Amino acid sequence: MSDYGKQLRRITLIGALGCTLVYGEMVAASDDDWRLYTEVESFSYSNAAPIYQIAHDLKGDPVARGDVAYTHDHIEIGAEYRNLSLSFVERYDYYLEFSPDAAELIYLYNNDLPHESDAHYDLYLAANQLRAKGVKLGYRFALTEAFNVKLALSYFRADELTEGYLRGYLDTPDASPTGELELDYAYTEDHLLDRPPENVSGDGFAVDLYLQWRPHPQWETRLALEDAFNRIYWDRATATVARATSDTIDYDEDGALDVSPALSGNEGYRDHVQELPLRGFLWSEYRLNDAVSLGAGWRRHDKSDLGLIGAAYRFNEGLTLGGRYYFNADALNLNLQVYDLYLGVTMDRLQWKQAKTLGLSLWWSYRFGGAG
Amino acid sequence: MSKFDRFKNNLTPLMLAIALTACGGGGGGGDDDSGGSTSVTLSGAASKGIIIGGLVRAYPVINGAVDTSNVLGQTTTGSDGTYNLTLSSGYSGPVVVRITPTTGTLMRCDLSGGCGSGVAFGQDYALTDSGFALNAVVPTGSSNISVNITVLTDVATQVALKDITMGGATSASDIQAAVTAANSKVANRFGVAGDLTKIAIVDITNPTAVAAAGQGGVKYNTLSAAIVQAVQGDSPGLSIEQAVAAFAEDFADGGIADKADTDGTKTTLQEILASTLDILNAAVAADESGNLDLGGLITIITAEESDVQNNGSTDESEGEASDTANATELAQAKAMVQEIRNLGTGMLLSTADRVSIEAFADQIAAATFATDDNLSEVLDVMAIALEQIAASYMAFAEDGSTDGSPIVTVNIVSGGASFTVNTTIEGVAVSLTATDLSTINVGDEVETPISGGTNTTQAISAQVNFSILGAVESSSVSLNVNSGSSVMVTLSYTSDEDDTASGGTSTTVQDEDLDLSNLSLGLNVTLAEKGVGNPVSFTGAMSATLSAFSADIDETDTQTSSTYEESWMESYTAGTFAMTLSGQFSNATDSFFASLALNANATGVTLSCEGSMSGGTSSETCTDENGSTYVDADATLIFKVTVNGVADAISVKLIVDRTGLESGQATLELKYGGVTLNAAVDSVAQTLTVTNQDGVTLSVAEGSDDKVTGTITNNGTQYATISEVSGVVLVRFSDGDFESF
Repeated sequence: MSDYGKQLRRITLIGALGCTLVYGEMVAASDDDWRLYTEVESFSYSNAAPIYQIAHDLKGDPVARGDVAYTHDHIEIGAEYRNLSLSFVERYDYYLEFSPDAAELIYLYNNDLPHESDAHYDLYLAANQLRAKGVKLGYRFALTEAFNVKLALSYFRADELTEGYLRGYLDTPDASPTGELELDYAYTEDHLLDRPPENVSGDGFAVDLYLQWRPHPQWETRLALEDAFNRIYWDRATATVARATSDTIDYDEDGALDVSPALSGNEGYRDHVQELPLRGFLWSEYRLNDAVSLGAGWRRHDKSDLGLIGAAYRFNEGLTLGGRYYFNADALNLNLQVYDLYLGVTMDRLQWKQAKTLGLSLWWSYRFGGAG
Repeated sequence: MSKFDRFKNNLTPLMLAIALTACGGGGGGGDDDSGGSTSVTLSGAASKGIIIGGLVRAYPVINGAVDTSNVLGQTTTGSDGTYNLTLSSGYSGPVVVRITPTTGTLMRCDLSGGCGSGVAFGQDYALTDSGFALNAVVPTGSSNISVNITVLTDVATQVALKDITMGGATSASDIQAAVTAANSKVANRFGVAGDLTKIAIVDITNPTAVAAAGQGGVKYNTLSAAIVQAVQGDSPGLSIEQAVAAFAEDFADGGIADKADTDGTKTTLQEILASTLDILNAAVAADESGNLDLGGLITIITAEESDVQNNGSTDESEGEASDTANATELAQAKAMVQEIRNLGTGMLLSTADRVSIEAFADQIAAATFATDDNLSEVLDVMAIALEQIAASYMAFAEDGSTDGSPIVTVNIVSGGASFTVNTTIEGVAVSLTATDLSTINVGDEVETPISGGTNTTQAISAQVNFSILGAVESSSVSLNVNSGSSVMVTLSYTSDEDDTASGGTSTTVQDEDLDLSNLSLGLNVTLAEKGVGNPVSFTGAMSATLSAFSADIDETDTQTSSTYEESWMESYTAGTFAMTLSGQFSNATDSFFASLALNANATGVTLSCEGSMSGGTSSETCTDENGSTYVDADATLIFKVTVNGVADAISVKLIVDRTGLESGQATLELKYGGVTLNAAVDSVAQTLTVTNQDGVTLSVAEGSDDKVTGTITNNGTQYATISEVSGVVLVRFSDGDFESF
């Protein structure tokens, strides 16, 4: 059996164990223990250009000297029974790391602008992109009254992949530009060299960890580590390895010209293992009184960190209004909770097309047999 | 039963089993790689002239020799010269396919002069010489393949056997490599692209088959026949069969020279090309419908012959094998892309010691200035001067008159007269002297009374033969005609004139017919550009022939005491005009040898003019070419160019073929070392096709989105696609590799 087959068997066994847990929980069922929920989450950030501009090939205003852009979007519809949850998830992720020179050069190229003369560009671009859908099984362990842990395991089938890197340099003396570029990436659709797409899909899993700690009745801290451990296995993924160079002219031992192609490589297939970056969210909140609470936190996406502080006002049991400020993204989050409905929006610009930080959160749940 | 008998009885079946194994599927012969008993079919045709009912046998090549004791398979050719032969032994080493005569074998005569004993071009005759054999050798008999057998494949077989022996090749792979290299070398020597054994056989005596075949196939098959004709031309006592064997043996002993040196006796490439022209003309003559058009190929061969005659080498050569002759088909496709890249880059490099694209373009321009309007102007004036010389000659021949032309001075010389033009015509200075060596019959004027007047008729015929010396010079071109130049033409002239008068009106109705045939102009010339920064000059030989020219001029003049009216109708037709120009082109910094051949067939095209003049006002209407009736013209230009880093001498052949009133095809062939690249542009279909010496074909076209798309194939199998991505033309090979051009 291939490595992927073994992994899938492992996942299936875990799933079967989960189903056993589900069945066990269902034995002493009562309607009060059931809850349906849905969740829509989207968070995008870049320190180089607005999210809208990134999604449109950097066409528009000049970009800043940044080096990261990412997004995580998911829709989840599930049911929770006591400590057990089962949901259907569809997700889309991309994580881009790049050199500031690369961002600038791509911007100049896509906007038909000339590059600087007599300049040196260090070029680096790494991409990690996924679209997938699957199921997520979670279980909450109440370790103590004040501390509980939820572990969630997702299995998904992925149908979009882009992972790899492009690196090199470009020099622009007064005469023709010179440089070298190296490309190595796996993909379901080749946006660089227009290779005809083929039927490629992957199977994967992810482990999420949620910690909730209430050391004091007025103080609560939550930590979410999503994609803490994950792998997506792509069997015979389409992949391209290529090299571009301006140094094409050489001579053999007889003095005859031996001209290398400016662009060359191989379009093949590989068994590719994709790993998504860790996403973390830490929030610690202190309730000053029945109405007001203050909090601070930290959002991490791989190596990119955003710090935040916030406050909330609880009007009554069913209505809470909050606000948070991401101080190194200069972005503001406003959120509203009305009973079991939560809506939050995060932006650093009122005009959303100009926003470099853009977030949307929408949660809704319905509890059977009791008040929602 | 004794112990011995029991032993014998047990041993016999065992020995039978061993014998069956040895003789059946596990043995095979020599150093082959037996892969079981799967049968393999070799199919093709045999031709030195189509061979009908010939015995075809396949033999293995063992230790550099044909093992005739081991027949791998045999069959006979059909009525069209084709055969299908099955090899059943599972032998996978090199195979020689040999055709020999047997009872009833016939061969079709494809020699322009006939095949002896009254056998004419296109007739079948009995092939009875038991010593006759034609061979083809292929590197492996392990798969179904096409193997055609011709004189050229026979030559390649002898070269292969010699190379195997002299090179000491013993392993199967070395022998196969020697076979492939031999086929490639011989193809290269004769300017044939692709695998000799796979080029289709064409019966060149059959106009329908010739018309259906491509130019390359007709050339290849005609070359095969021409070899025999050329050898017999050098050694008239040799039979066809002896000529085939002698040539193959000679070629294997070092190849052939482009042209003969002073004491050379061996057949040369120039002689073979001359014979090729004779056979092509015989093929055209054999076409009763008159529709077979080989003008383009004739022009090409004419240019090639002129080029080797003037610029060729007297050193013998077997040709050069392609460096990739033994590579896989995919590797050959990749090598072709590399070759095009090297050549294109070499031409574009702009450092001082390399030929830049501008310089290369200059060389093209220099070589084609011979056909531009400036030279046409000079040639037109020269034609006018020659025409005036002819008129003066006619008058002199008729009655010794020396005033036949106002611009010609007649001088009596020993044995005849010389006619000199020394004037300026339409701004072009001309100084030409023609010395008469002609034969002329001038008929008497016959006057016959008619109603109202007199009818006068006269007929003149002449075999004109002049030597010419002099110069014609305009502001942009000078043309010097050097000693050894001459013009010959057969012409006839008739005049029929009615002169009548009635009531003060006199009328003259004149009908003149001039028919000119077999015009042949041979000039040693020096051409030079004038008035430009880097003038190009040409020194060499120019020859021109015109098969026929007719002028029918009817004119009616009516005169009264106060008025004069004139009306005329002129009609001109012509046959085929062919011109060759071969010599050295030079400018301030470079010089190169070039040959130009031009062929224009005006058969069926009539230029007519109808006009009138009255009261000092004249008008004229003329008809010219149109979309369905136009002069079919072809031109071939051959020259050498140096592209440093690629080759010291690249032979460039540019072929332009007019396919319509305003459309044409252009083909460019580049040949250096073992590489031949043939690029053809179709202006109507907007496609470019490049073929190389290994038979790899690259085809590209520009789509409606202005993006380039195409394919690369080899032997009918596609090995790459070509597409344009972000402005870069990308070649994607079937193994996943890709590269830009």
